[in-house]
Amino acid sequence: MYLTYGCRPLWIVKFCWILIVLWIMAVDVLNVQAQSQELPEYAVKAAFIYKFTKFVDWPAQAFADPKEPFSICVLGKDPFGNVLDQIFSGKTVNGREPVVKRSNSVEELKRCHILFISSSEKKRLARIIEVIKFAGILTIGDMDQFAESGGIIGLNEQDKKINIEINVDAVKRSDLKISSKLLIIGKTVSDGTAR
Amino acid sequence: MVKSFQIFIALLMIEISIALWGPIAWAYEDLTEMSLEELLDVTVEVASKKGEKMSDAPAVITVVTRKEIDAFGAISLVDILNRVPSLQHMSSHLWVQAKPVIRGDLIAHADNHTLILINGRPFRDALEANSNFALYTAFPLDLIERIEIIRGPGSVLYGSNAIAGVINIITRVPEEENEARVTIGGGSFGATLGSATAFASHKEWKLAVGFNYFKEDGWDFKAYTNSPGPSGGPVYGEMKYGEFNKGLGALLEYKRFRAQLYYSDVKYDSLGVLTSWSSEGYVAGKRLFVDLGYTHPFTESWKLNLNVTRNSWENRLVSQITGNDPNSADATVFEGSISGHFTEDTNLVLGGLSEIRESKGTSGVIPDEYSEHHYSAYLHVDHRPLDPLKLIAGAQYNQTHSGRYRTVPRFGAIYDFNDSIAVKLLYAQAFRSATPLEEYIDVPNLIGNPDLAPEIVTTVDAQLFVNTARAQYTFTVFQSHYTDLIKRIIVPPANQTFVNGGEIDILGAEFEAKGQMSETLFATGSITYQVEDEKDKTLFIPSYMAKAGISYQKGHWTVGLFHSYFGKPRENEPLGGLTLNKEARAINLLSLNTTYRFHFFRPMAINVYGSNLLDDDMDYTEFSMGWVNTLPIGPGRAVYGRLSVEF
Repeated sequence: MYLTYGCRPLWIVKFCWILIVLWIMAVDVLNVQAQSQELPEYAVKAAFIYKFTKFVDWPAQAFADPKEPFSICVLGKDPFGNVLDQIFSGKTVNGREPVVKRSNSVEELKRCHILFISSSEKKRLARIIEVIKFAGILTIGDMDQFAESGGIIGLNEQDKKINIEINVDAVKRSDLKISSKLLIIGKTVSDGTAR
Repeated sequence: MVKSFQIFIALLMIEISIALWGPIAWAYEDLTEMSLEELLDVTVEVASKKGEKMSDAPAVITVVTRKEIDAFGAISLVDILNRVPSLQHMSSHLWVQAKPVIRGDLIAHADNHTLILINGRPFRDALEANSNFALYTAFPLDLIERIEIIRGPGSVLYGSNAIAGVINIITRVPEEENEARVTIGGGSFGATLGSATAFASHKEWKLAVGFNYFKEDGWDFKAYTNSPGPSGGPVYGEMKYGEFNKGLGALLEYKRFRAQLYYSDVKYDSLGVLTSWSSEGYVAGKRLFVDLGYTHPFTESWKLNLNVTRNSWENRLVSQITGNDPNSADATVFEGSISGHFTEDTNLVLGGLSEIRESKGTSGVIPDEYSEHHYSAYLHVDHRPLDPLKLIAGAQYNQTHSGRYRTVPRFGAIYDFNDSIAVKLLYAQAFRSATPLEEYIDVPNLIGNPDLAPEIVTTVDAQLFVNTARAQYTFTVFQSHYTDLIKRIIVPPANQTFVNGGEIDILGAEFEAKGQMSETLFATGSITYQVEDEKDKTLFIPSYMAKAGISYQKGHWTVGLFHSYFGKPRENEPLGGLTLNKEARAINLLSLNTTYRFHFFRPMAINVYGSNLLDDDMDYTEFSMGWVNTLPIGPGRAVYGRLSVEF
């Protein structure tokens, strides 16, 4: 009769719910183990920054005393969140304690050892480079043409992979020493202003 | 069912915990252990392309992408919208498949609490603000790039009707390569369907055109109704609910100019203006939407937007008791805005508009000509005083033709704890101006009121937004307070009119998850709890909704399975005591979409799409007139087959 309930296959409904959630859980957990998964862009870039400390030598005058911390600084809008802090947490850099600093002022960051210049500073990049070019600071950025514009290391995303560009002229200006391994892995560029 | 629902929630909570803490804790340690060569080989997910804008947006937003539409399939927008969190697409005795109910806003059967936008421009008719059915069932789906659904108020930027939510349909802009696709098919209930789309670009000209055709003999609508009124005896009847929909959309861009058009001609069978077989007939509606836009960049940071948008509308209610009842009206919006940023941290939008609503006396329910002028001005500012903190403020001043004015504000704060976790706190108001129908209607027993104030809603949202390596999760709680609702009252001895009055409170919680779990697997799901304040109990809405879908795409194959669960709505107490129809019940809509792509002279695809595969009865509480306990709001199981050829 029309106005009576039909038999509904509710077991299918329940089965679907449970199957879907279990599937999602399984896939997400498996992803944690997977080696080929995509990782957040700035987590990988932060790991690169940590790795660079193993392949760059800072001049002695870059440190006021043997106990001075190793400063990793972000100038402008910070794209890392707390990832940089987590990457360097519990580690040492050349026997020094790492400290992550953030500021919108170049003057406040002139004692840094690594300076990540955010894309938000693109318009005043030339002025920033001019202020710190002889200060023994490893400048890193990911804005377009960062290395060609006078920065030392550019981290560029292309086809979901990070490429390294190293400005050899900027390296010479900075008094930093960069391992040949890093120079071989990265793409070297010039800004034509070597002294 | 309740038990399985509880299991579902429990499993999802576990899933959230794993998703939140698992990848975050794992990834950083392992990354520092990698060599430089290994790091160079890591595939990264570019943050700016994934969710960052959504967590930054000053609203609670769900985005349905082209990829999801292809994965889960659809015959019309109705299928797509029913998968959106906190949304249930509703039919009444008169308006069939005509009302997306967002967050339980089933206050009336008119579809005037959700604003539809096409590429950001208002699709709003000038009589009832109620004829969007001509879009839901006819819009060419192949034209769509994505659909953005805002849950909550949107009037500060979008004006009237953005009360429960905003649905913004973003259409595809042609790429460099020209392409075209033709699709034909058929299916259950005697359906025949077809579509054609073409995308072309030449130098700075870009053109997209899409046409959609759908004709169906109809599904069996069976019910007892009262005749002729609530105290009349029960009358059993059956009819076929058929449809015949045609929609044409087009977008043309040249340099800084953009023109867009949408035309539709829709006809569907309906029980009519009463929940009585005596009004059985059909509704026929036509909509013409035309928008001309120009963008002028003053500087790299500032631009001027100018738009003229015209919505023309015509519909007919055809039945024995209404005869051939035609109605038509036009609305034209002139709008200008300036947007830009003072610094990287401060953005501003400042705009104003004038809207003319007019009819030349061709409406059956409004015998006289009318021409109304409405004015609005709006301002939106957001600023980051600290890097992780974004503050939002905005307001729209709105003045109706009768001189009534009102300003609706919004305020918000978004705090990014890190790349993965953000919280939003939003406060906003929205309004709906009285429609010309409510102001000027002049039919036996119902007289309009030209002095109506706008309806107002005030909503508070708090949202936790989480991005993991592969997925996005949001948890939102909301409360909406409606005031000055426009409702009918009886004026003795027997007339009715419209007045402002009544308040409603709705509160709820929403959980949404979405993620690309692997290269081939995509999963999405949501849970909604919504409840009307205890003191009111006027809405016939379900307390729970839960939706989940998984899709698999590899090589030639795409398969998508989606299940939408809508809980049992509150039951009514029919005026005439007629409870012979089935009881209101929970509705389970299960759909399966399968597409196989191949090459046979041309690139081709075969698609089989099944909706309501559990053949669930869609009996819903009759929420509009209250004469009977329930009415069917949708069809049973349906299967459609389609063949597409690309050129």
